[in-house]
Amino acid sequence: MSLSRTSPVELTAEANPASRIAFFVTRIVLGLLWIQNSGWKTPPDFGRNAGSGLYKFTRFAVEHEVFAPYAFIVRELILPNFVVFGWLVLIVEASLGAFLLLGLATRLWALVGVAQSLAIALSVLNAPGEWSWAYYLMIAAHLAIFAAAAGRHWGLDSVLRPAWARSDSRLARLLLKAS
Amino acid sequence: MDALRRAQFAVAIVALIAGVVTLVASLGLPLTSPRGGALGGTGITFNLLGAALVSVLGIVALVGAVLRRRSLVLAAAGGFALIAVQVLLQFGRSANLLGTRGSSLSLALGAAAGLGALGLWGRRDS
Repeated sequence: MSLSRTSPVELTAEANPASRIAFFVTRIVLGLLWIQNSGWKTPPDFGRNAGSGLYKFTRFAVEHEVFAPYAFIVRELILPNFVVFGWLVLIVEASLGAFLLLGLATRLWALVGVAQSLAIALSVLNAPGEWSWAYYLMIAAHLAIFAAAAGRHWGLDSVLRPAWARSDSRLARLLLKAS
Repeated sequence: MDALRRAQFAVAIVALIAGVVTLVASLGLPLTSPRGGALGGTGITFNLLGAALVSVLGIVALVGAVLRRRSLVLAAAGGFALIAVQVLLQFGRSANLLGTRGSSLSLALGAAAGLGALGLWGRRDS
């Protein structure tokens, strides 16, 4: 890869093996976090009929409001269409686990992780028994792997970026930006 | 060994380990039990049939990496994609042929995307 394609992030990481290990471990831990958490988003109703599971935690956004506009969206849009929302959450979280574990299109998925962590925080921050710092830490960890382009440290991004850089296809250019 | 093959090995071995561990964990359960054996605390589960399928696909991917046969790597990727479809169709229902749940979707999706990307971009790069 030419010097012009090498970002400051890559130069820093190449010079510091401890950084590479730290970014790798953070990415793997976040991947496992989402893999484990996608296990309890259970179709077909995602807890709506029993008032449990994903439905219960989503309702917290209304019952223990954190941010009024978000509570409005949950009450008026998400809860009335909860099964569609449940499938979306399941697919997004399962994909987060898969792609962060692989280190494939990592920067894109790190941003998705920030958005998903923020959505969870806006639902449950004021709920009884929640430790708010857990959600701040999730957001911070995803921002860290975004900034570090953590898929370039023993991830598939590091293997495939040279091929993407040589390719003229639109998909390759998108993946180059997403990694 | 080049980086591409190392990556194919890594993804194939992770899948194979997941298959073997859930195979052991689901011993004693019916072949197509809707609740499978778990891969530690990851939430990933497969019953005997699902675990056997994941193990076989892991072996196919591993053989593809060893023999430099992209067709085998891509075939394994296709198999994992079908497992992901099975999760979407049957997770949470009484008929769950492979004993999967949402976390199993992550594994299947990851193996399909990872092996697929390595197979496709490896071919384009050569």
